[in-house]
Amino acid sequence: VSQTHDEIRALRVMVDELRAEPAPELAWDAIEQRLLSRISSHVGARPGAESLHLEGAPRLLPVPLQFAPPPRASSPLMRVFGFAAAAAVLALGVGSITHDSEVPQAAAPARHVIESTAVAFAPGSAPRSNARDLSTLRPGDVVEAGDAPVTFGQAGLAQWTLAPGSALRVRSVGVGHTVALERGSLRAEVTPRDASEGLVEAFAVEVGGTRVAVHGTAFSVTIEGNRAVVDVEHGAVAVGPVGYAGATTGHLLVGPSRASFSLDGGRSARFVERVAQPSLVAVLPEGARERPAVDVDEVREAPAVVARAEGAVAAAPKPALSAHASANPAVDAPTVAVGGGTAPPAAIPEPEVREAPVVAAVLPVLSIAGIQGRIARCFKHDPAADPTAVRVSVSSTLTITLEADGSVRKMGLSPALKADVTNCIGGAVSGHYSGDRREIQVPITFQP
Amino acid sequence: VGVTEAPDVDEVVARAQRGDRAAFSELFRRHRGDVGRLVFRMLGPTPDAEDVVQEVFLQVHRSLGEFRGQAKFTTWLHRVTVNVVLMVRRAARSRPVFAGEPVADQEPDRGLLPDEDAARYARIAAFRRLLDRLPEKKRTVFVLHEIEGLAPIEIAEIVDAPVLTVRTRLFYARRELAVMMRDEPTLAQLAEELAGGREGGRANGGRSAEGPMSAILGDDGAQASAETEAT
Repeated sequence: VSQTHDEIRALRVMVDELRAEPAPELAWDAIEQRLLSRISSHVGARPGAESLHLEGAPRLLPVPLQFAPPPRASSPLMRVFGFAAAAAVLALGVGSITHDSEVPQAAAPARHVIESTAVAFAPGSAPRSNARDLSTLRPGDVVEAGDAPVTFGQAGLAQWTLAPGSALRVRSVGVGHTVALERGSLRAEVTPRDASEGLVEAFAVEVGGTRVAVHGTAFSVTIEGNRAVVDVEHGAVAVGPVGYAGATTGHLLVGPSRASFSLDGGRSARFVERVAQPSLVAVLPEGARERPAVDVDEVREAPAVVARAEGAVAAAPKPALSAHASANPAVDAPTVAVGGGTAPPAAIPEPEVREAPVVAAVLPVLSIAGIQGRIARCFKHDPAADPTAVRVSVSSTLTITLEADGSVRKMGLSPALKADVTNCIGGAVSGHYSGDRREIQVPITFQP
Repeated sequence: VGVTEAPDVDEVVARAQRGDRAAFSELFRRHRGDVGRLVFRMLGPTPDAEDVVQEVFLQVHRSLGEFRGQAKFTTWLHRVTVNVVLMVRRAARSRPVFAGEPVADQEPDRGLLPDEDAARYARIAAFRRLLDRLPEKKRTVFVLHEIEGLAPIEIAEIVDAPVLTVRTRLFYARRELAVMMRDEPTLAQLAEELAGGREGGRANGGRSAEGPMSAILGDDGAQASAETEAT
C-alpha cells in the first residue's frame, strides 16, 4: 500500500490539529480530595497495609488459626461464609497450631506448621467453613498443600484453594493480595470490589513472568509445563507481565473461558477448549467431598505448611494418603510421594487441550428476575439518609438481545439513564446466558 | 511536548514512598496536568476523564513502593497512565455496547462556531474515530510519539517493548491511518484540498512535512518493514 504525498500531508495536518487540541481543565481539587479520601479508606481497611511495600524480615511468630470475621450484611455470599464459619467453630472446635520442631532447622531457620483440615469448595458454592484466615499470611510466606486442598479466605476480599501438592509464595496481602504460584494449581473466588473503589486489582496470581490479575471473579490458574492455564468461570481477569501491580495489561479473559499463556508475561496466548468445569472437588476423596462439616472424626488430616523463613524452605512433610482416599474408585487420586519426597503436584484434571472456540460450561438463565438482581447494585439505596435529601426515582425498560451462542448482542434502555448507571448496568448484564437468540424486556423501577 | 521534571522530584518520590501524604499530594499537583493531558489524548473527550486520572494516581500510590528509580519518574508515571487507560478501554470493550447510546455525552458542546472551526472539529472527531479503529498497541505508540511527542526509546520503556518494535508499530500505525483516511469523507477531502493547493498554507504552517510523519515509508518504515509483527 503506498501513500501519496498529499495523504501524508493530510495525516500530518491531522496530527498537528490533534496536538493543538487543549486538554479540558478538570476539577483538580475535587479529584485530589476524592483521591486522598480513597487512599485513606483503603489504607485503613486493609490488614497489614503498611507492610505492603516495605517487606522486612518475615514474621516468625506463631500464627493463630482464625476464622474469617463475620461479613458485612451487604454480601449474601459472605453472609453464608460467616454463618458457616461460626457453625464450624461451635461444632468442630478444630484449629490447632503445631510448632513443628521436627523441621530441619538448617534448611529453614524457623518454620511454623499449621495443621488442620482443608476441604475444597465447588464452583459457585459458598466457601467452606474451614478456610483459614487469609489475613494471617504475610509477604514472603510459603504455603504448601499436602494431600488435600488447602483453603485460605478473607471476607470481602478473596478465597483461594491450593490443589494437593501445590505450593505458592505470598507476595503481598490485603487489597491487591498477590501470590506467586510455584507449582501445581490454584483456584480462587474474588469478591468484586465496589464500583466506587475503581479498578482495583483485588487479587493476582503470578506464574513466572506472567501475572493474572482480577477485580472480582472465580478462576483457576494451573502450571502446565512452561505455560499457565487460566480458567475463568465468571467475571474477567487480566493476564500480562509481572511488574505492573495494579495495572496489569496484556490479555483480558472474560468468563466463562479458558486460555493458555506463556510464562514470559503472556506474550504467547491461545484459547483452549473448556469442556468441563474443573473443580478441586474432583481431586478430593469422595468422603472428604461429601462429608458434613460437623463430622470431625471423619475429617481427613490434610496438613498445609505455611513456612516463614528467609532463604530456602525445606520440603514439607507430607502425610500418607488415607485408605479412604486411595480406595475411592470414582476419583483419580493424585499421585503423591508418600513420606515427604518430592511430590508432583496433583493438578486439576484438565480436559484435552486443543485449539477450539470457547465452550461455556454452566450458564445463567436469562430471566427478568435474574437481570433485576444483577443490576440492583447499580442503584444506591440508603434508608438512613437525611429525609430532606433529594431522592431520585428511576423507571426505565432494559431490552436485552442475545446472540445464538448466548452472548449479549445489544442492550437498550428506554428512556436512557445517566452514563454511569448505564455503564454499571452494561457491566452487570454482560456475559453469556443459556439458550439461543432471543430478546427480553426487563422493567427497571427504583424507588429510594 | 515533554514532561517537565523538577530537580527534586526524586526527593519528593522518596518521601511519598515513606508514606508522606504531603509529598504524595505534591506529586499529584506537579504531574496531574501531564496525566490529564495523556488521558485526554488517549481517550479523547470523555466524561470519565476525572475518574481515570484519579485511578492513575491511586495506582501510583499503590505501586510507588515498586518504583526503584531505574527509569525517570515521569516515564514510570506515563507507563502507569498508559496501563490504566488501556485497562479502561478493555473494560469498556468487554461490556456490550448500548444501542443508541447518546453520543452527545461524549462530545463537549462547543456552541456556535465559525465554519472553519466547525470543519476542524469535524475532522478531529473523524480522525479520532480512525484512531479508535487502530489496534491498541499501534494506537498507543502513535499517540505517545506523534501526539505526545515522546521518543521511541522512552516509549519502549513505557510499553515494555524493544525500540525496533515501537518503530514497527509506528510505521504500521501511520500507514493504516493514511489508508483509513481515504475512506473517511471529511479527511479524504482534506487530502484533496491539499493536492489542490487550497490548504497548502495551513499544511506548511504546521510542522514540516519532512518531520517524522514524512517517514511513513522513510527511516522508520525502512527499519520497521524488515520486521513483521502480529497485531
